[in-house]
Amino acid sequence: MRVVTHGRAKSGSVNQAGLLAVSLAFLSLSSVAAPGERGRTGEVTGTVRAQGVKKLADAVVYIEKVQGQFQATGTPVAVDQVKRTYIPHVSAVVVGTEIEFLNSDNEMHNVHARQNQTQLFNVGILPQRKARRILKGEGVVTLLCDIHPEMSAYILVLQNPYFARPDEKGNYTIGSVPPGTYTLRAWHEKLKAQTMEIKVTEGGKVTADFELKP
Amino acid sequence: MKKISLTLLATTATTFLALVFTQQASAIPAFARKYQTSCQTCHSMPPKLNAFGEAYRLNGYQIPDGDEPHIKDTPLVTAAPAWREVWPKANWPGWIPGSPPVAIRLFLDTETSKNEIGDPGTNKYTTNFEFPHEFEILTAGTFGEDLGFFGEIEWKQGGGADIRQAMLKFQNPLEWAGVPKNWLHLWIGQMDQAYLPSYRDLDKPGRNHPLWGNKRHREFVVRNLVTGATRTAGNNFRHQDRMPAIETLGILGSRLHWAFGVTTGAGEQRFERDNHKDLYYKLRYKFGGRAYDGSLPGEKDVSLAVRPTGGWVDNALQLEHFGYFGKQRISTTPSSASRSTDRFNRFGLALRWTWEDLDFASGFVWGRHSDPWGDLSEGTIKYRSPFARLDYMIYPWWMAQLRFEDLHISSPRNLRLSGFSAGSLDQTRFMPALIFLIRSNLRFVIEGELYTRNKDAESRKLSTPHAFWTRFDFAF
Repeated sequence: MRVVTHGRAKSGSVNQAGLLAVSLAFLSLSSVAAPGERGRTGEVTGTVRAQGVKKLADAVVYIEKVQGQFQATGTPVAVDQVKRTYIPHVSAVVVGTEIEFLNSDNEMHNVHARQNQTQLFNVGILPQRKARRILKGEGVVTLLCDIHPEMSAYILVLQNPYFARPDEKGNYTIGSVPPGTYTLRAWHEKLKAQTMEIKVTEGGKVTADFELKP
Repeated sequence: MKKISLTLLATTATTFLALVFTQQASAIPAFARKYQTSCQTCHSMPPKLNAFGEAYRLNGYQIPDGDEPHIKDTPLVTAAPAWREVWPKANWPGWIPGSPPVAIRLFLDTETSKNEIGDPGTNKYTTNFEFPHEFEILTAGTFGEDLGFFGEIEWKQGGGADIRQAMLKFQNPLEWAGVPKNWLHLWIGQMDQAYLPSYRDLDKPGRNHPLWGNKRHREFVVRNLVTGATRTAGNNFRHQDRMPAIETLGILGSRLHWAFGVTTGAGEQRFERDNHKDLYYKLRYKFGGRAYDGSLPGEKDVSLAVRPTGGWVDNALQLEHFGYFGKQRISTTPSSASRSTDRFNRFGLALRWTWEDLDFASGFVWGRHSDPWGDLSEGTIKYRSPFARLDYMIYPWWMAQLRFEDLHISSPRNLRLSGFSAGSLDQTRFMPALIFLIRSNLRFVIEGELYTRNKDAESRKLSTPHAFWTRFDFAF
């Protein structure tokens, strides 16, 4: 199974619902104007190793800041609640993306969203219903459910669409990156984030490996 | 002697054969169940811990480089880790073990001796079956990151049930304040203080407790050899007793393990007769081998796989030291009107050298009591106990052990009891043992207790109390 970022197929493994989410993300981003045109971009690839965690696919590797404006389309990204579990557990979207929160369970949930230590919103969702919210600020959004404290999920709201989630072995690729010098960041909910300076050239391939630690 | 040997041989052979042809136990104890791993991941010869097991214990029952990837028994999350962000307006995140973290342990012993349970003075050995000698319910695990627990309920033949251990391990409680990981942990509860890890009770693959930890001063008797009347001292402190304590401990630079604790010092008594608290400290340093934080030079990731060379191999040298400062209000038995306070201390110095299949430990424990006899005598008494142990792994399932232990407690001066004379606990013994791991969770021990000196028996004109033991120890 493959993860799509910025309209290019990339390595990375997700479950079925996760595929739905990233597919929607793909649709929402397909009309984004990339700074570099096809053939004039580079690629960032590498491996993420994460000490002490099971799911490498819950990491996100992204470029912190890329010149230009990136706007999401109106097609929402789905985050479902199934058997008291947020699916996907980790998502990454461009700032301004609308999220559709579904409740596929036969019981009440509420989406308690927090960002930068403050509450973004707290919306109750009846069984088999849904609610939509637009994420307007960059940063990590934490999703909780006050009714079921065991539930949690994360949405990384990013400035640009140049991000990827590693596959089960930790391999990732970010394609169609415009040439330039960037800060690449690897994030995982349980580990300390790491950054790396990279230089992407036309048609070039940059390798950046991370080893995340608690 | 021939008759004794035949009895012993028959007993041993029968029980051994019965176990060999018994089906393998289908269940495994709590930690093995949690990680779906072998007992040998943490034990060289259960319950003796290997270097990995010791790092796991010190790390609050978590795999040192990250517990989560190794857990096969999915825990029940009571609050997702993300709730940290909301605290104090929400509960701190945690979990409870997926399966009840309970294990059962049983000992089946035989004892062949002259004096203790036999006919005193008849010079005949008798063999006694202690089936069971002891039954234990053990529970252990974690309640989320950085919080471990351990409990032990023991039922002893003829002794009733007792809570031996019940403790919480708060790991890295001040990490939020910038204290580096592993520098400071806080353990609270009734626990095994494990003063000298090179020679401690929890690492005992044989049957008998170390002499220096096993004898309490209360056992020191003054006796009227004419009437047979006795007087005993009142201090019931004993190192091997699990005592209620608050212990701070940590690992500095991965190889220096320190601990400082305060305990009631009341031995097996649940409540003190006074408000005195005892203090103790311990230090140990490890050269080479797997460090106390679990790291191993040249190893990038911790693996639960038992190495082909044997999980017990850890080429290292450890130096250890402990100090204990106690105070106990005592009375003599039979009780006298006067009470006194006995201030006492113990110090220990030891080394442990492990090389391939060998494990050698040796050390010395010494101390003094200021006034253990109250109005029966005056002056201090001294205590000293050198010891040595050699373990050799013949096969992964077969260990040979030889222990040497000596104990000297000086006699009370100016005994104020006419007709009474002080006995002596002084003794020197050698303890050869063979330990077989019939199954991963089933241990069989043959152990001898051979005295070259036993003052107590000599003064009472009794036979030297040599003894022979067998033990089946199994857990599931």
